Amino acid sequence: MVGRAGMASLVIIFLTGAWLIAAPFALRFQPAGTPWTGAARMDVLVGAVLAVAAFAGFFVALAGQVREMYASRPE
Amino acid sequence: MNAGRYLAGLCVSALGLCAGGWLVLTPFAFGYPHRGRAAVTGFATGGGLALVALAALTCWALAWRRKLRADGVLAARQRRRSRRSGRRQARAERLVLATRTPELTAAPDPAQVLTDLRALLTPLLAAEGSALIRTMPGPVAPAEPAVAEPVLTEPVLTVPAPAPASDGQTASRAVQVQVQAPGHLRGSRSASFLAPSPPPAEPLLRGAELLMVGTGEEEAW
Repeated sequence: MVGRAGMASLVIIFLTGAWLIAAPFALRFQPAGTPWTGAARMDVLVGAVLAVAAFAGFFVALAGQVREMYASRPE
Repeated sequence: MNAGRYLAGLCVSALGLCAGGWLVLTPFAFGYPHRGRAAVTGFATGGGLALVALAALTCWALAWRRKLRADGVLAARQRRRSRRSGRRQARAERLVLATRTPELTAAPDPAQVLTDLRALLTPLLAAEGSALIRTMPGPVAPAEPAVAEPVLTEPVLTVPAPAPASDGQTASRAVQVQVQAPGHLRGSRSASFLAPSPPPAEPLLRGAELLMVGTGEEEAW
């Protein structure tokens, strides 16, 4: 239960990062064809870091779970 | 143990918490327009991200602690309920020891118990008119027809009654006392599997003595 909640929270963090990347364009506080504002640059940067970290963390956690399942399987 | 899984979850959660805090502080740090879209997005996303990251941090920490307890690295947590039940168990054990010690010190000798039991049962067996005790003629008495003898099929204990006199005529007509064993059913039908001749009580008493000596407790009775 707790492990599943942790995995779900990693997915939510990844989706939040993706939303931060898309938010300046979706909410139109970064007009197309104009130089990026400081807010848009910051959101995209933070969102990208979050998304990459959550993506990697999710699969590392998933690999660990699979390894535990292999270790605890009956002979 | 696979600690990388939990470490990855904890690191990503901590990074998310830091990112959420940073997103909340960014509008103030960079002077975004008040109530502008960028500021509202930063507040809302940062606040939500901080909450989710905090929950994730808690979940991964709990999962890791649970795994460490399951592996025996961390000591098992003692809950209040188990503490209470432990106190109750200790109190019950003390009570049992306090009530059992006098019995152990004053444990009667099994041979003495059997002697007292004989002294108690002999007058009872000899008494007549009791509900459990009946008398019948001894083996030297004239035999009756086997068809009309339903009493012989009842489960009874037969012990020789004390000899009232020493003269041969009276001794030849000595009576035997039959005691119905408790728990046995009356009637020839339910006791038909028993032997037709009732067992004497002396071997039973010897068997009881052996049983008591074998178990070492008077609870065998």
